[in-house]
Amino acid sequence: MPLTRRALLAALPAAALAGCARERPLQVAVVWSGDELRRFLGVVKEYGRPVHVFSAGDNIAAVLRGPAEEVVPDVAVIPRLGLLFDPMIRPRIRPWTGDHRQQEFWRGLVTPPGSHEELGAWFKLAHKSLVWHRAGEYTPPADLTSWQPTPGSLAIGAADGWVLSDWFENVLLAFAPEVYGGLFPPGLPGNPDWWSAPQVADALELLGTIWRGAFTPEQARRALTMQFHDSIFDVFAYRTAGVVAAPDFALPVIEHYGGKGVAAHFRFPAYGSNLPPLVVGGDVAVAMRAGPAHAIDFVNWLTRPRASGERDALTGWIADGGFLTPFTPPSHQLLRGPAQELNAAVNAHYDLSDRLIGGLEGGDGRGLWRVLTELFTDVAVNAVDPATAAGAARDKLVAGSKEGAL
Amino acid sequence: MSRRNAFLFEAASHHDARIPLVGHGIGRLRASLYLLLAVLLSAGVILVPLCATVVLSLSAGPGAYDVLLDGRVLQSLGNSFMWLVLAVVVCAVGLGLAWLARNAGPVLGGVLRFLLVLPAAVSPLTTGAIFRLMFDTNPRRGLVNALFGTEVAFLGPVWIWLVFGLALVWQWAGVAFLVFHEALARLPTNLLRMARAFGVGRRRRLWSVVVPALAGPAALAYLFALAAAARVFDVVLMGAPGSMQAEIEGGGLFWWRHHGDLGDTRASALSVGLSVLVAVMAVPALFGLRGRVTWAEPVVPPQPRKGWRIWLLCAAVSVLWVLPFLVLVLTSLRDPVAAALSGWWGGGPWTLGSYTEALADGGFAGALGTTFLRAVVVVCLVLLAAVPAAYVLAHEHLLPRRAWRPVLLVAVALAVLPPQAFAVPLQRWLSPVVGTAPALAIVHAALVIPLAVLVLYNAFVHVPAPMLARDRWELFHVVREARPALVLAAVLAFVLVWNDTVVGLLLNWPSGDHLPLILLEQARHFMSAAGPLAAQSVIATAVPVLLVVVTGRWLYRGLTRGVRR
Repeated sequence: MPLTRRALLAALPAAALAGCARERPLQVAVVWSGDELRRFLGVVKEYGRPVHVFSAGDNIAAVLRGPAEEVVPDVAVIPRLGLLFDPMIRPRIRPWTGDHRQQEFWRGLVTPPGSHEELGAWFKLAHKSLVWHRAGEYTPPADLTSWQPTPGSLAIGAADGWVLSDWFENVLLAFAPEVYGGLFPPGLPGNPDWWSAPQVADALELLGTIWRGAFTPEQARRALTMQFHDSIFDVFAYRTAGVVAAPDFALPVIEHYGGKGVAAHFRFPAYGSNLPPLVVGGDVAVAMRAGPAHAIDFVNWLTRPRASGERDALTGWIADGGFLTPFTPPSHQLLRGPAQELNAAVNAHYDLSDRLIGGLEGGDGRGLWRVLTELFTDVAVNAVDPATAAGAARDKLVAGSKEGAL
Repeated sequence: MSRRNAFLFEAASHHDARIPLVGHGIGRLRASLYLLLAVLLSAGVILVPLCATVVLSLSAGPGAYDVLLDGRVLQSLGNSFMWLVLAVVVCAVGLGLAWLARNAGPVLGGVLRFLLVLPAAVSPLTTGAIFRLMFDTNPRRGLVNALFGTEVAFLGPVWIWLVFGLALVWQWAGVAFLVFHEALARLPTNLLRMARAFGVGRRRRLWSVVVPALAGPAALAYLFALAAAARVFDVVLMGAPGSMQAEIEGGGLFWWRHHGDLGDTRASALSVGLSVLVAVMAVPALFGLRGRVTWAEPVVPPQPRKGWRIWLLCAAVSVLWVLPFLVLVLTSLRDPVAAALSGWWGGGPWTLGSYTEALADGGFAGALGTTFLRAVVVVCLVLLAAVPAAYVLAHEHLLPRRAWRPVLLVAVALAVLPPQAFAVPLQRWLSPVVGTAPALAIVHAALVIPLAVLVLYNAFVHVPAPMLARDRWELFHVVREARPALVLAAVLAFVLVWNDTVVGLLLNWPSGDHLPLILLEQARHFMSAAGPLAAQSVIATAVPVLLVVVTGRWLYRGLTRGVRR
């Protein structure tokens, strides 16, 4: 054996020491995995200095709130806006001082009430009020009340709580925009009292009615085991369902598994004469105080506008779809409209479940996600009357919004 | 192998027939020094935090225990109870298989033992992934639905308990099988023959000879299964769709999700409640342990019975136990797009694309190295602390014989309790260093040390008396003689660290460099990541499985006797 035990023992501390010699790479925490993570790594590779990206997944909150300052990352790309205003996290964020100006609506989102400092810069935006179907095979409904998908025609990845919460947010924003605005008024601190407004129960009932009509109990049981990607497979790969409500970043999944040029989409239907809802999401890049000062440079570099004609890994990502930014219009025909809507931001509100912290904070088996999963199970699997189930769900939301409730 | 295995031998007081060695000891002070590292580590990381948890839960009066009456907490504790009941099923399956295979002979018996025990080396995370793949709702992808031509939502409400029950049985029934198989080979056959000769009825023979002889092993098997069920955590995180996790998650997983919202006192109260539940369920095992468990050589070597039945049984069990491995490997060898959309029986294209994709971003390959290094460091730490401690406990009469029972009970309790039981104070104390590599290695080591001491102690007391020439090199003689137990302790420590998700999530979330944590990320889009996930799981599983295969003979000897023969 060429490697003796002694040599191995000697090599261990040497390997440990070797790590300390080089320049410490910038620690960047993200939440992506799989294809999106690979894409992001491709983007970061073009930065001149060493950067170490790691995926914290759903633990990003724990990572940023963590008790030990030394292990908090230098830069985080956060998809959950609420975390920026978390009392533990906000003091740790180094306010953003960049030279490019973000759109008014998006600036407001990252500016704490009563302050003029923007905490971070938007890296990626998401349009969450789209409904996808195979091109030419579905007629968009006139409005939300007339939208009654027949059993089996609607695919929902009910295994993912965020899919259900996107549904709820669209229905709530279509039905009662004043509640949505009341919960998180622009430029003011949020007001959880709005959870007890009667419109919340009505919106939940409307949601429950749609879900109940769209599934037989057996189909609903299956839906509970399907994730977001599975629901896209059902429409575009297996073609067993006709329509799926999904954000813009469904497009690369559709094209990867279903083929190019098969998809079309329409806006999530409006309620009566109200404006159509526009639920938006996005990933904001922030530099943390604990990190080096040049972390801000990295955030600036990452979120900078690209000149027209400039080609790099990010514009490649944009061209392939599944990535919308504040500055570069997408080349994909299907995404140009959504990108313009994000810039205009009419009746736009940031994803509710990503703003909540505390008792209603999302996550598998907890908070808003759990309440909506139980609502789905009640109306679609157990055939409970939507009004009754909606009342129960509203009570859980009110209880969950109280501080320290459990 | 599992940490549960360690209790296989020696569950009753040891009868020391050697000449008492009075006055030749190494002295109380030096003996205490031998114990120091093990005691410091296990007290600092387990015992003191455990006591602190109890104190913390009562710090605001008993009101914190109101949390146990909350609907969702009750549901999770009810689920914990269900899991612990499944532990009985695991034992029953193990006993049934051992009974059917009692005459299998050395070759078939060896094959069965190997195949049945192998899943215990697989991480629960991988087990969850395999069973989620097999029981997928869509008959194009889910093997079971394809076989029966149905479209049952196995991972949906109610049915999901069946899937996870099967997963638990697949993973742990082998350990119960091993215990019962050894016990059945050592039934007092002479006594049975005599009873039959005196005309004692079949039922009476069963009650008065077989049941008492099996009570001790049954208690051991139950304890192993109980420990596995009490720690159910990552198998749910990976195997259950997000919507269903609340339906089956036990108190440990609920605690992990909610301890932030609950606050320290109520989170501690929940920890205490969970520990009490596990302790209550463990009580029957303590009655069983009053019987003696000795692993003498079988009086009569079992006569291999030739017959088609035993072959059929072995073939069926082998197919059932190998199938999950096969599903994983075949899925990993398919094109990633094909693996996401259809099952492996759909055929090719067979490529290594999933492996390329799995290794593409470098994070996984890096974690392989980090995790390996971490596991090796922990093995060294564990042996460094446990060997002198076990030696002193075995050969210095520091404790009177009757004090052994409580020590044994404490060690068993420490091995069975899930880390959530004492995580609140531990997280707080570790906060200045959390996420750093040494802190994590020390915590891991401390969690394995009680077990390693038990394993080594049981081997050391069996080292034959003539070897005990009392000189300064005695420790080395003993260690050399008890080599199989040393290998067993090292492999246990390695596999436990390699497969760990709980400690990583509780105490090391920021670094994200632990292998299972990287695997867990794939659960975000489970089915579309099926190919790369399977590839990563195959690589992650290959290491402990190879280790067990290579050291198999030693492990078996270490388990049944612990001493070189």
